[in-house]
Order: sequence, then C-alpha cells, then structure tokens
Amino acid sequence: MTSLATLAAHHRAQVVAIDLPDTERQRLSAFGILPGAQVQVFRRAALGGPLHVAVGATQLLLRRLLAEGIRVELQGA
Amino acid sequence: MTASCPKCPPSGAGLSAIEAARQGRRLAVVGLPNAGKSTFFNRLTGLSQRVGNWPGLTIDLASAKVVLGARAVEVVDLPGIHDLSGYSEDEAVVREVLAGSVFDGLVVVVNGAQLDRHWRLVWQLAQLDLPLVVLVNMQDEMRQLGIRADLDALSARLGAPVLAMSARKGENWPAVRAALTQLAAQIPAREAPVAIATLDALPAGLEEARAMLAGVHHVPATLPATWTTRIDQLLLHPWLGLPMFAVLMALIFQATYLLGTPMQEELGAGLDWVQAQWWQPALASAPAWLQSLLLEGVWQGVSTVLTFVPILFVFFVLMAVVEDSGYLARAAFLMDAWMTRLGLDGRSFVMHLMGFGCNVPAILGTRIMRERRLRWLTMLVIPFSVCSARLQVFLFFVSTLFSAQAAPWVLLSLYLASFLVAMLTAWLFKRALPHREALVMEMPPYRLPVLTYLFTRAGGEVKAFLQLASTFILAGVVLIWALTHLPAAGGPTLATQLGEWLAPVLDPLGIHHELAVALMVGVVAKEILLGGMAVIYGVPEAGLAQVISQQLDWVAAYSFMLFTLIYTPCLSTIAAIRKESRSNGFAALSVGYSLALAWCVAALFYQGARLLHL
Ligand SMILES: Nc1nc2c(ncn2[C@@H]2O[C@H](COP(=O)(O)OP(=O)(O)OP(=O)(O)O)[C@@H](O)[C@H]2O)c(=O)[nH]1
Repeated sequence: MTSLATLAAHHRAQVVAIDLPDTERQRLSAFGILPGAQVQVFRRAALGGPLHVAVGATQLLLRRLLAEGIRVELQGA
Repeated sequence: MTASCPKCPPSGAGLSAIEAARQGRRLAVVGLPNAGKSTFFNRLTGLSQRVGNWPGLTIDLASAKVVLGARAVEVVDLPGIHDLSGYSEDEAVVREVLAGSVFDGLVVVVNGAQLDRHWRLVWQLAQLDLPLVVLVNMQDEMRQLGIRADLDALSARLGAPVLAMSARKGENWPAVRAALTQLAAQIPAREAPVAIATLDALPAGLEEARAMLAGVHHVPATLPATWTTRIDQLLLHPWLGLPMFAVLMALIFQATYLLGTPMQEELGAGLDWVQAQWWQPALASAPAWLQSLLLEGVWQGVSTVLTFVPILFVFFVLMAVVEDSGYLARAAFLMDAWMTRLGLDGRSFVMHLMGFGCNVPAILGTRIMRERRLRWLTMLVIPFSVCSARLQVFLFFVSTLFSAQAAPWVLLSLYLASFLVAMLTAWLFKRALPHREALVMEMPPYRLPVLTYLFTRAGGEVKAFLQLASTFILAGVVLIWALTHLPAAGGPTLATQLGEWLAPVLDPLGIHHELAVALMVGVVAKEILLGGMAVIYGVPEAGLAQVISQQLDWVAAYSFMLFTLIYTPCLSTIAAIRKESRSNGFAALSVGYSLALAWCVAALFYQGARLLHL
C-alpha cells in the first residue's frame, strides 16, 4: 500500500483508505475519491505541483498534499 | 457563470426581491458546478447568463419567467454545489435560498458522463419532498466516451422523471420542455420553504446514490482517448506547458490590439466628424459656457470613451473563448506549484486572469476557495489585474507615445508589471495569512465555444459599458469639467488648486498637476480617466493624442500608467471586496495598501529613469 502522491504517471490504483481530516475527506468524496474508487494518474506537475488524475470519467487537479493522505493499492500501468 | 459585474443591469436579484416577485410556480435549477445549468437556463429562458467551462459558480441568482404550457413559471438558476450538506460558501448560499424562499419544484442538471459523482446530489434533493425533474446533460460527451445509462430504470428507482439532454446542442429539447411543462402543470403551490432542519439533517447519501446507480450506469474500464487527452499532452507538457501559456496570453493581447485599434480609429474619426458637422453648428448660438460644457465637457469626454467599444468587444470575445474552452483549469494546473510558493494557488492565478475582464466577478469568483485566508490573499492581488477600463487608458497612451512596433510590447510590459505586483503582494502578505487549502477541482474536457454565445456575451459587456458611459462616466466628466472651469471669474480653477495642493505627492512621480483631478475621479470608475483627460486638455479624442505627446514624455506617461495600474481599484471592486470579506478593515487595508504601493512603484520607476537620463 502506498500513497497516491508516489504513483508515477500512467499508473492505475484502487483507493484503500483516506488518512485526512474529516473536511478534506468529505471534499474528496464530492469528487468521487472514496475507498474502493479506481484512480489513474495522468501526469504530475513539475516542482511538486498538483497531480492530474482521473476517477471514472472525471478528470481532476489534486494537490500533492491531499494525494499524500490517499492510500492506494497499485494495479498496473 | 453569472457575470455579476457592477455595470450589468441587476439581473441577479437578492432573496427578498425574488420573494416579492413570486407569482405562479417557481422552479430552482440545481446541480454540480460545470454541469451545464447556465447553458440549460439560457436555452430555456433565452437570456445570456455567463457560461464558462470552469468549475466556478453562478454568482448571483439569475431568475427569469418562462411560459410553460398554460403556466407562467419563474426559473431561478442557483450556484453549483457538490453536496447539500457541504460547507462551502456556495453550499451555504444554496441552503439559505432553499430554506428562505418557496420553491415549488426542482430541475436538477447532471453531467451524464459523471453520474457516479453527480447522483449523490440528486439523491439528497429527492429527500426534500419537492417534485423534481432530472436532466442528464452532455449526452454528446457520453457517446464519445462510450458511457451508457439506463434512464428509464433510474427514473423508476428515483420515482421522478429522468431525461437525456444536451443543453448546448438542444438535443432532446422537445422532450425536456414537455417534461418541464408537465411538472409546471402538476405541481401544487407550496406554502412554505423547505425547513432548514430538513436540510441540516440530510445524510451524505454516498452509499444510497451508489446503490441506485448499480447496474444502470456503465462506464467502460478504459475510456477511449479523446481530443482532450491529445491536446493536454501538448498544452500540459512538462516543459513546454508554461511557455505555451505565456505565448497564448500574449497572442490574445496582441490580437485585441491589432484587431481593435483600426476600428477604434475609424470610430474616433466618425465621432469627430459628428462634432464638427452637427454639434458645433447646432450650438453656435448658445452661450459660451454652455458650449464649453456640452462640447468640451460632455461630448469630448464621452466620445473619447466610446471609441473603445470595438476594442472591448474584441477583447471580451477572446476572453469568452478562453473561459469557455476549459483552458483555465489547465492554467491553474500549470501555475499551482508556483502560486503555492507565494501562498496562493492555481485558482488565484486564474482569478487574476479573469480580472482582466473586470475585477468584480473575479473577486466574487474567490468563493470557490474554502480557506478564508487564501480567499483574502487572493482578493488582495486581484485588483492589480489590468481590467478592461485600465486597458483603455493604457491603449491610449501606448498608441500615442510609442511607435506601432513598440506599442504592443509596451502593453505587454504592463501586463507583466501587473503579475509582478501581484506576486510581490502575495509574497509580502503570505506569512500574515497562512492556510492549508484542500485543493481539488475538476479539469473539464476541452469544449468548443458556442459562437452565438460568444457574441451575446461580448455584446452584453459592451451594453453594460455603454450604460456606465451614460451614467457614471457622464457624471464624472461633467464634474471634471466643472472643476477645471470654475470659478468662472478667473484666477486658478478648482482643479489647479487641487493639483497644486497635491504637488508634493505628484511631483516625485512626474505626474502633471492637471491630471490629479482625473486620478481622483477615476477612483469611482477608471473608465472616467480618459474622458476626464479629454476634458482637462479641452480637446477631442484625436486632438488629445497630440496634446498628450507634447505634454508628456514616455517616462512620465509610463509612470502615470504604473500608478493607474496599481492604485485604488474602482468603487465597485472595493464594494465587492468589503462584501466578500465581510470586513471593513480588510477593505481599507486593500485600498490603502494599493495606493501606497502605486506611489512607491511609480516613484521608483520615474526617479530611476530620470537618474539614467532616459
Ligand atoms: N459537450 C457539451 N458541453 C456542454 C453541454 N452543456 C453545457 N456544456 C458546456 O459545459 C460548460 C459548463 O456549462 P455551464 O452552463 O457554465 O455550467 P454551470 O453548471 O452553469 O456551471 P457553474 O455556473 O460554474 O455552476 C460550458 O463550457 C458549456 O458550454 C452539453 O450538452 N454538451
């Protein structure tokens, strides 16, 4: 189990748990990031910038800080 | 998104106004940000709400009457929300509206490609015991992605009509209208709004929504590569992304300049002709003071401002293209890492870009931010973005004092200055306003702008500008005329006295004393500046250019432009800052700080340039 923030571009993973304060967890759930969701990392912005990820057909900009709190199970590239 | 610029007619009404206007039935349009609510609302009501491919918000409540079947129905477009039990400003606004005024039914607009994300809100709304119709929008994008949904099954599970729609193309529109007509005909008039207790007690509904979608919503495991994926590979390229962004922005301003200036010259010549052929003969027998007031005051002031109409039109069309395309979310992605270092985030940067049209909607746009300190910091930098009013002043000076080759670059340098000042401000204040913002936002697919929409939108902005010209600018110009012509008995005019009194502050900046009065009145609205200058120098648009180039060298003019760029934003912006921050102190800080900074920057520039003998 790793954090979403460590995933390289083009990797797919399944969200296992979210270790973040309640408000942030609620916010993520509004974008479909919940335990069980399939996520794919499209790209990572330079200089520790945000991640570009997809959850289902929704593409998101996700701060690295939040991604660090999202535990995922790697599923392949 | 709704433009809620101060110049626009009051289409967004407050709660009480909406309450008073209620006759017949009233429907609310609800949905997630960027679901297509405004597009649907515009199609239904024929209005031109601001539409943008940015998960932002419909800022004020737009409402309109439509006749559905035999009934007149009032439709109100609410801001986009994720979750009725959420805690953002918008979610609070929507809760307040739903609990504060009576709605007889709901129209829920969802993005069909993202039902997994949108359906929870539908489920929550269905718990409110209000009749509702669900419109599954973006059918075109669903097809492209191979996403299917069995709407009949969903409708049966929900116990309410669920219809396919593509709001932009009008797909399935007759059926949508029929469903709304039926809703309007059937619903009883409610007596009271939804109880706030009901809203507060709503469960999150994530599981329930998921269960309802199970087996009826099919998303392929791997989505086909779309145009968006390919364009993103280019525009979000690790190294080329940012340079391309800069080039794109530069192109927009160059295009505004290149397309708009010739039209402006034509219009200016036309207006001068009107003055010479019509006004002067018509007023020939009037008393001298009246001639002066009407010709040198009203006509010269207002006509100078009017020559900017073509440029504004071009500019707003281009801004609308950028906003509607979905590129703004990419700009946020590209800039976020940089902005974080300044205590801002990618969205702050986008708001700064939006401020190029008008600062006020940009200030309101900060509502998508949840952290108050981040909002404040962003509100502090937005007034430094070159709004279209300041653009007019710059265009004028730049085309008067610089060669045609140099002019666009000088203009660009002012935009750079605008960013630099914003960065400096963020850097100065970031320690005072620390925050941890949970930034997650949608990156919508690229969407082709709708041509008619672009023109209605730009037309709307021009109309608002004309309204401003016929009220504030007119009044400002007359005021400046009075100050520069009174006392009539001779001796120094009020404007001269004012200029002399302010000399100690103006001289270090190289700003002529005559201009003091224009700068002061310009605080009301910067559009007045140019008209005011035409009055001060007592010459029409064409002549003003000549006088300015005799009176000012480029160093003094650039110093004046820097001051105009940075100093106190217009009254509407100040009002928006006060309202959104709910703090008089913060508004005062914003005004005082920008005034002080403007003085320092202009003084540094002017004195530095003089030292170098430029
Ligand atoms: N492809 C496609 N795009 C659409 C459709 N309907 C709306 N859009 C686009 O989706 C984007 C968002 O539309 P808006 O109407 O601004 O969405 P909104 O829900 O009002 O958004 P907020 O005001 O931000 O809450 C715009 O770029 C529209 O042009 C549709 O049926 N198909």
